[in-house]
Amino acid sequence: MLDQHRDTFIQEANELLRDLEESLLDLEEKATDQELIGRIFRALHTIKGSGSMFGYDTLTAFTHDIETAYDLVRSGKLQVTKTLVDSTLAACDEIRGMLTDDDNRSGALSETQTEIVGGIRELIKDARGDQPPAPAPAVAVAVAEVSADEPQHECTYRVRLTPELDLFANGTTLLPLFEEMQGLGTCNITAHVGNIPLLQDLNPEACHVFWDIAINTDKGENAIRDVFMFVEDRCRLDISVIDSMGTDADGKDALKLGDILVQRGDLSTEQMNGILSQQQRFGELATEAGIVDQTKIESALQEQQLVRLAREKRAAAEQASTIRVPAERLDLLINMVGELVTVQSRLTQVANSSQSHAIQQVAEDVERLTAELRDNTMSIRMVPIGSAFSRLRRLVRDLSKELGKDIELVTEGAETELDKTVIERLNDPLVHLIRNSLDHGIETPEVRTAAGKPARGTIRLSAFHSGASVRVTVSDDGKGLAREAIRQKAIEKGLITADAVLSEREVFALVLLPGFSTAAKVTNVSGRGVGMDVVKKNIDSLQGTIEISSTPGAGTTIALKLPLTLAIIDGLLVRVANEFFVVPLTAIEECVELKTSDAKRGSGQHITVIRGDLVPYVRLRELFGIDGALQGAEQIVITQVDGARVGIMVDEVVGQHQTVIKPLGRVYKHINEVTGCSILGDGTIALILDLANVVKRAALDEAAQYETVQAGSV
Amino acid sequence: MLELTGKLTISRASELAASIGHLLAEEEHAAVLDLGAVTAADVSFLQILCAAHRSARRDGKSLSVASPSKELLRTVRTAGFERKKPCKQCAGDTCLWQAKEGS
Repeated sequence: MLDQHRDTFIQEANELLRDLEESLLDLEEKATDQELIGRIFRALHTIKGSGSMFGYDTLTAFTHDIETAYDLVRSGKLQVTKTLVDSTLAACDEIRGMLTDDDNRSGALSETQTEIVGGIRELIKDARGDQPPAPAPAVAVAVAEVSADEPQHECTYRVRLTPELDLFANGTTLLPLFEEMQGLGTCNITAHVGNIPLLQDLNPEACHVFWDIAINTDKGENAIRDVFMFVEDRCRLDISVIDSMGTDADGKDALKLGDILVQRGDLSTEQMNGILSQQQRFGELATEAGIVDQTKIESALQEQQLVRLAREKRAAAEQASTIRVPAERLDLLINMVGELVTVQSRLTQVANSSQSHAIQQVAEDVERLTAELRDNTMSIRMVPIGSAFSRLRRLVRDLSKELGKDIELVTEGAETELDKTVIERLNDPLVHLIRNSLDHGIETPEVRTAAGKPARGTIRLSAFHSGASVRVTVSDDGKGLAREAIRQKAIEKGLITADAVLSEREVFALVLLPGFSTAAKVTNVSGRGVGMDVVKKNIDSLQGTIEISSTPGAGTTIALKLPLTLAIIDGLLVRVANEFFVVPLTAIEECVELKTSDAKRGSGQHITVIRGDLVPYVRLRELFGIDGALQGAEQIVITQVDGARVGIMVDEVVGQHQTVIKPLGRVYKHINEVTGCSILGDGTIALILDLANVVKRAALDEAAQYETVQAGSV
Repeated sequence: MLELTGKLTISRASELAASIGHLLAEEEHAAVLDLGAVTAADVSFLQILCAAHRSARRDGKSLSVASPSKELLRTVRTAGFERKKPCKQCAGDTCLWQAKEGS
């Protein structure tokens, strides 16, 4: 039973490590951000604690010193330096390794690990001023670390404390009470000193000050009242809730300054409106007009700030609230929804052909609900691509350091959502592409400055939705691709003939062919010619397309187009005689009509002219050997395959069709031209085409035909 | 210059007010309070300081604090006296509580 929990622990620990890495990378930029430091400390602490619970003794001992280091950072005794971050990142890698090493949970530290610990201990020693780090027992620390993670019912209160003049008469002192308030939660205390008279008029034993406290706490209003329990008979205590779970009492957004003052009674609505009708900042105006004094304004501003901060924190926390579900269960659900959709469309067909109005009504309702259900289930698998992006940050940092280059990774559209599986399978290609940019694309700082470019190179990763697909681009401002060199290499390797005429796009597409590499040097990182064609294979298997463009001296851009999800395909349903096929929508550019008479005139060459460009096409009839009389005009669906335009000729384009992809089964696995099938409303099966392979097959068939003709004529 | 030491709390409030009052009366231009040896303070003392500062201003003199002790600063912060902008009475001048922020 413990094993099952151990899996969860390992999963969570890995997630924590990912977060930890990201926070560390952020920390390098914002070395004094207390929030980040706190997060890092808590992550280390949790990993250590849970690790020891599952018997990962080595892990616990290893993490202990790092946790101590960040405790010192928290209390300001140790500065965040690059060395510290480097060591901690290295430690993360070690911890990751330790999590997979089941058999060695209580073993000794490896050499690398001992080195890392040693380094950290040095830093701790320096911070503590030669005192040896106390081997603080893990238990004690756990008890002290009471800071709850996101509290349940956090609320922001406004407390106005107006003491009577004789508050001090019985020796009451307010300071301990204010400290108690700080223990309840984040709070902001403002003292209003406006009523303090001049020294000669002052009664030193009377209290002329009143306070505003804005506090964000989950302990409830009564806890606040309890704090002031013993002074309540000598004070006026006004407590009001100003922010509860995101909205105020009226459900509006965070109150503006004027509203706060009006609510407190420091300002009348007319006065507020009068001031608002001018252009200046409200606070300044109110002070100038002498209606409200600076203290009250400052106090109100701080309250506003507190609420805003609390809201942001809450928003971040809400995003993190999730539930774990095994991926297989989700796949099962989607499959069933897919079946439901199929049956539902059959229901609609039958209902429409029946005479019963009542049944048609119900069928309509079922259709509506099914569509909603499908959209919903699809969205469950959608995950923001930001998770893939953040993993790449570390890669860029480490690799650019290794290569001696100064490179920054800029990301856009991290919130763009993609199917979980797509993102997982996108990771390797992205790593390859970024490695290429890092290694071959971006020049060293010296070369860059000599060329008049900024010494720091930029790699830009962006993702955005476009119609039914997602576009992911990797672009850099490096030296660009050398068109001639690529051409030459391709000729050398016999991939193209010396006199082949290729468009710029097609030349760049050559690098995607297997065995291609123009790098003069094979480095550790790349250059073995293995990268780009593997990337292409991966993207193909995702049913996506890849396009390369580049400007010499300025940079290169690789644009990926991917379907939103793999489970469902958005396609164009086409018919050849009585057979149906689905052409993936992402690849389609347009549809044109070709009269049979024109086709005959083409003298057997399957080429058509579209706006001046020659476009070859494939006749599915021929490819699949389908018999059946032609009915006149045929349609050509113009698609983009491997950077080139190819037409697919069919009898009829039926229409757009969205459906769940069903695999064909083992027996048909070797048929590359078809990637699966889709079940239509009436039960017919439509085969989903793999365009790249269809084109390849057509080319092979044509070549074979040509040879036969040749052979025959000899 | 007047040095105040030890606990500056309500029990000594009258005495402290009187002492500072004397200081202001004696000094022609700039009165300075050395608060380095203050071990504790409460709201009553902060009140006195504020009142004294205002009186000094009104009389065209200045009252400033030299080397405020850590405990005093902590009290100023806890009691919510620390501020970003000067109070109404001191607008345009150095507000006693604003100066504390830098130190």
